[in-house]
Amino acid sequence: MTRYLIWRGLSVIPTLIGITILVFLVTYFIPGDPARVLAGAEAPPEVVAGLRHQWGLDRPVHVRYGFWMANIARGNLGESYFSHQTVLQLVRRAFPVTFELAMLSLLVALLIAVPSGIVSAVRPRSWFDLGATAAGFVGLSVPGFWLGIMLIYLFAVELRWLPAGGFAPLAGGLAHNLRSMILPAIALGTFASTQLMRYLRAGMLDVLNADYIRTARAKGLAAAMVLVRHAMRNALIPFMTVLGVQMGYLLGGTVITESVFALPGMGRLVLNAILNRDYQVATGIILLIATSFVLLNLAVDLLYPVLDPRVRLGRSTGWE
Amino acid sequence: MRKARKRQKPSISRRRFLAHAGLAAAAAAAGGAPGAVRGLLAAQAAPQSAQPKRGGTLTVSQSVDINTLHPWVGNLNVWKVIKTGIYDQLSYQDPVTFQVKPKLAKSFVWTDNNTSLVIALPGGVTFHNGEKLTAEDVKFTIDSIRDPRVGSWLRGFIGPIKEVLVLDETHLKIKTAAIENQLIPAFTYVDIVPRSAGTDLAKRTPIGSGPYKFVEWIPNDHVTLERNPAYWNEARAGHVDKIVFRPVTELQTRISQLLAGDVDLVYDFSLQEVPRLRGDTSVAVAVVPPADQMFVVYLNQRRPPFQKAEMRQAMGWALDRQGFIKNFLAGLGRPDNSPFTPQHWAFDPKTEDAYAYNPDTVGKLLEQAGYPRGRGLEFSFLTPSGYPEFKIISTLLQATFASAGYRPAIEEVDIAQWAARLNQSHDFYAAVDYPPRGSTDPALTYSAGLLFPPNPANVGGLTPETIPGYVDELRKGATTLDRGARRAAYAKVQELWLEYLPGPIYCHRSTAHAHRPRVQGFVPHPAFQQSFVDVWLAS
Repeated sequence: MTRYLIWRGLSVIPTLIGITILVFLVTYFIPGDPARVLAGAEAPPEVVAGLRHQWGLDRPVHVRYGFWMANIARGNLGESYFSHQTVLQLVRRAFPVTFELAMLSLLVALLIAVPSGIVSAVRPRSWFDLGATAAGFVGLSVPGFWLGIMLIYLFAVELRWLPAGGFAPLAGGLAHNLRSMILPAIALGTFASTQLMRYLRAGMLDVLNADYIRTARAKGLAAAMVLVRHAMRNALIPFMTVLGVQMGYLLGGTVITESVFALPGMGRLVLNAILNRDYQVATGIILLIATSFVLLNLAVDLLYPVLDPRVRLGRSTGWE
Repeated sequence: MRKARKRQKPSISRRRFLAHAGLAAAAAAAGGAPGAVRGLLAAQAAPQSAQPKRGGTLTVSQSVDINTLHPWVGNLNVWKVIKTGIYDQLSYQDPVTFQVKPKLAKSFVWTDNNTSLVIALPGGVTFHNGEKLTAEDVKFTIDSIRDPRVGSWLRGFIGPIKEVLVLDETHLKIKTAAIENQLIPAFTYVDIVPRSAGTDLAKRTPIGSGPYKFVEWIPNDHVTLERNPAYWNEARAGHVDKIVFRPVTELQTRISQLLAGDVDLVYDFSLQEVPRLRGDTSVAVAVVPPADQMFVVYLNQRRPPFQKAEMRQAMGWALDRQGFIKNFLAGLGRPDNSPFTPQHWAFDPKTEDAYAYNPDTVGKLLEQAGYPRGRGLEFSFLTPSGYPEFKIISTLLQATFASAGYRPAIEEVDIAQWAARLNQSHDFYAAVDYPPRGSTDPALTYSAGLLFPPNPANVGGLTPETIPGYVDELRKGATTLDRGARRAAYAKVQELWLEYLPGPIYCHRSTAHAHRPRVQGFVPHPAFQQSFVDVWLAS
């Protein structure tokens, strides 16, 4: 078990180094020039050259990578060429928006996915199962931006119940804040729920047909007890993996939902950074997102032994 | 200026209603007609819309976020809209007449045998930090913009300046070789900052002397300005207490926010949405007539096939301008072959029919250029994503050339890549754009920008040798105050342009803005140098 934890923890280091190289090179090779973006098309060439020199963009790629890594080692992810705010300042402002959106969306997704996934699995090929599966396909197929715009049109323009976009910070009151997040959370959560529901249903179906469930039923255990204590716990393992991936995806910022609902989150921050070729911000944020993704997956992996005793005993993994 | 007006319900308080009800009862008792009360209501409602009211917060939706706080470096229209209120500029372009007039400057006088421009400033002007604005600050501003290390896109606009001399606290002299008509219009873009702020302005809170003070910028969320209570020009002080600019990239969200009452004004949106919003009585639409922005196609003359005049001219005949305006600009445009429209004094009527849609002529010109039925021809259109009108024009041009035997490709890239390929690597054949400044003085139109000036910034590679006589006529127009001589010079410039056609001009487009009925006094600016000082919020 300890070996497993140490190995799993150490494996993160080369992954992160690989990510820094990849992130830096990808942004380096994107055609375009932040100096031209800032100065504009009408700026004389000497003005653009001056800005490039000022920002160190005229240095060789390995020198720039070296400076970037040295700064990261000191905890400095860089500063925007444009707003001159540090990456950490920008993230500090954008992350709470994305985090709140991710949590609320996940809540919406779980509220939809867990009951419908379980009921679908317990009553396969029933009307409910067919309906939930069909709804899942519709949810997967409907473009997020379309659903968002429809929600805005219905609840903001027609009914005037909720705002048509924009973020109200918590400092302005919880109710005000939640009103601004309900529609984006529904738009995003609906999409996320379809995948979760399908995984939970498939996992539950596998487990419910297993011998130990039949044994538990034969022993006379109540159906609810079999479902909750024996079936769900095992079905949760693949579900948790998908949930971890979904969490990482949501925390990385969802560009479309944030754009449609005008939320100042991580997705818009990184999109604008890429479009403006604000390399420092783009690389800094992508690195943070990738790191959080890796760490989340690490956390999920570390949760496996808790959920599955076989991992702890090394029976199925062979780590002990 | 055409401005859509919607019928609004007169607003009336309960107390006023009861008072009017009392009057109505009295009038009825006296045998008067009910119409007398209606007349009274109308008479009392009218002054309400005429008398600006102070206070309130104006929320403005813009299509993208700003990318810098530097007044001389940032060149996005969304930033121009915001910073025009923060800073004072020496001159401004009247949004209705399009004439350039003094703003911070009291006067501009050419002296010293027309080699110096003397600028008089008012006394008692202070910056938002309390410092006094003097001629030294204006000199510092102009000298800084001229310094290439500062990185200002305006450097080319004030290129003819040789030296700036401070005469006293409120007067300065700008030395040039001759009269330079581009300077006073160029000063509409020059934001005066205190010299104590230095030139590293992107890292500082913007300090100007304008009617609105900068409060904060939260990237991707909002920029807030507040009224400057100590503004030096009482007549041009703002009415609303606070202006909040929100960047909302999704067009449908912007419009929904307006319809839901979450924002007061949607600044600059797609013209195709105008008919729909004009049909909605809960909003008013303000349209700037087509005058400033013009659709053009840059043709790269550094490489074949656009080194040949016939190929450039073929491009001039290839677009169905009327069809494009009708179907894709909601009719809010004007076919033109000139940077100017008929309202402009430099407009030459001879340009009107110089090029029109004629696919047969395109075919003939291809043959004359040595590409019969498009054989051996190779070119493509480079368009930036997020600019649908550019792609539509490229597609229409593609269809015309396809009917003549050659189907050029359309390559779509993001805006940063597009700009780099146009301005740095010159890795393109043809690219549609809508450069501004068709409504300002022709000296500025032809001296700045990417299409007209024969200098290294010219996207197509136009050099002084490309069009014999072109530069001479430009200089004639730029260096005399004689309106007749200027008109003749610019007529010749337009004639030469259309003959050589380094870059076809297709049409001008309007710009559209929509607001809630409570927003009063909003007059949109053709070049996005928007003033909000006349805007006030009705109850």
